[in-house]
Amino acid sequence: MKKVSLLIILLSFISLEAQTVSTDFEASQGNRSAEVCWTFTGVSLSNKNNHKPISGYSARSGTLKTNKSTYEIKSPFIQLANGNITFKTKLHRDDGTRTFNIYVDFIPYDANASDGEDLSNIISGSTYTLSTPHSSVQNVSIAVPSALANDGSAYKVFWRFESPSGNRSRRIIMDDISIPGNYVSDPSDNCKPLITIPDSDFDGLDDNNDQFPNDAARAYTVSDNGFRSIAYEDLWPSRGDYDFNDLVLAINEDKVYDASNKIKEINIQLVVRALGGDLIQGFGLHYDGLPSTSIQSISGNSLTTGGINTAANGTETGQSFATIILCDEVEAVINRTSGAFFNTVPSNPTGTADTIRVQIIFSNALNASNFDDASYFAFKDRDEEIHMKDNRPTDKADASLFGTIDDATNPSANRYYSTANGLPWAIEVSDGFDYPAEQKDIVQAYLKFGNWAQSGGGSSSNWYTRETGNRNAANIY
Amino acid sequence: MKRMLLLLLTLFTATACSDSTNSDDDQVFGPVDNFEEIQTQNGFKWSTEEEYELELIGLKTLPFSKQAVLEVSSLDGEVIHRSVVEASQNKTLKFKAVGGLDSLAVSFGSIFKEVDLHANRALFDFLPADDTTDLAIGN
Repeated sequence: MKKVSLLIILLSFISLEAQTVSTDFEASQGNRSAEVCWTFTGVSLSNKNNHKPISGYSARSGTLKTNKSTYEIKSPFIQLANGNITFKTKLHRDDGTRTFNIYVDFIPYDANASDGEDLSNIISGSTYTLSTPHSSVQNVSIAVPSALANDGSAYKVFWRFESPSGNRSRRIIMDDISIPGNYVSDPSDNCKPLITIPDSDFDGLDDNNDQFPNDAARAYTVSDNGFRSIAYEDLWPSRGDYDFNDLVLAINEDKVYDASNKIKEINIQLVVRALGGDLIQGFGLHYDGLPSTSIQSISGNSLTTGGINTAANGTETGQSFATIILCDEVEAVINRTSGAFFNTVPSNPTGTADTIRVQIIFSNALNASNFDDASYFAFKDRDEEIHMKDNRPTDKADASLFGTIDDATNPSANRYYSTANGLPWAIEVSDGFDYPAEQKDIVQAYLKFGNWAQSGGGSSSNWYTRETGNRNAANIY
Repeated sequence: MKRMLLLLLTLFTATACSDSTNSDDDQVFGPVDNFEEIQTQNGFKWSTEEEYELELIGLKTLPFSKQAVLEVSSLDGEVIHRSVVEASQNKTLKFKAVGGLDSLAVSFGSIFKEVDLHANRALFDFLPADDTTDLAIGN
């Protein structure tokens, strides 16, 4: 029963029944924000016995003042209908025959005000004077002014409380408010009345929210912050020197979604930051599980050798799942300044690299989960691929190399590109990774890397940042 | 006896001063000198990116449809994720971001909240924030 009550409390803080906006404050559980778009000034919601609530939770003002604007309650914006505004009220304690007033007025909507309230044109409604004894519950009923009912405009009902005979240590208690009309406050627009904004491409997302208001296939983008890096060792299936600079690929993805949160397009920027060896020839992207026909077109990838066969949509042929060779000749996209090591020997001049900009458009927009197994891979000969640990190879990979030398790939256990004790040939690092210098073990370059890895990623998660104590700069390029 | 008391006092002080809620970052595993010495868990992905979940608690009683783009950012202001959501519906968003985040900034139109992550999971509701500074008046 408690669970049911809680559910009701969580889900029904405002009830809209037959053009009535009402609240008994029970759903709030004392949290005013749960009374969505109601505004309380100096008024709390309480069910404490010593606060003398009317029933369960009630609204409770501070001690009443002569200034009627000290304590206020404002309803959400409502398109008022004919009928009566009703509520229960009392003072928390009697106060002889003194007068206490409740003003019930109306605030019109002002499109230019940040909160939509036109406070310079408050429309007078009624004033209710509490009867004695003040502490007995009084049912108040006030007619909606005929000029406001059904006029199509939005108003807030505005309660203010007054003690004309001076500041008194008495508090107004209010409960069970009911207002005839439609709730029109939009909580995501500072509670101003809901405005219908055009949806030019009819994709279900209004033009204000749509980055592509005239393209039903596209609605918004999500872009990576900076470039993450995938750093490879190139001696697979043998272990390497673990400087993770044999290929360092910087990647930035910009995904374009439709209004159903499906991905229509991916724009990728790729930069070869380092090539600390001469084995890796190229790199690609394997969308494991995604049929090649899911892709409409690919453009911008760097194919210069003539050795990659592609279908009309740009995917590599002979693959069960979509595979895109992003670059088949790394040398074609880097500009060396000296030596065999590209940007891995700190004393050598720094080389530059072209930015490869690849656009992938999907035939039909796809759920993001289709991309969970996307794998950026490097390759030496085309059949010698290097993926991140446990990412599956493409059909082009030479399966006879699996399980040889130091590789402990075991497809039946979904284990790929891993040594017997779980070490990889590639790591992925968020934006800001300065890779190790040539032949410097990453553990000796990043002092908390070992701790991060041994914790399974749970500790020292910022090992790659410039935070004090993280780095041995002498071993970093 | 004095030494015993001193030892007990030292132990008590050390215990009292230790943090009983160590963050993950306080856990230190056996030091290693090189990559090959690393012992790690089988499922470890070797990526500093982690998966996060944001559970949206829909405003079930909203009497109209309100669909818009919800935006998730780091507290540094970097946008991590976006999604079109309906304010009245529950939904769980999953996305990857840099590991080690403790909080997220979530916005839906004018609604903006910072939410804490626990085990990479956070909750967000569509209730506009309430400024409670007024409650100091006469309460």
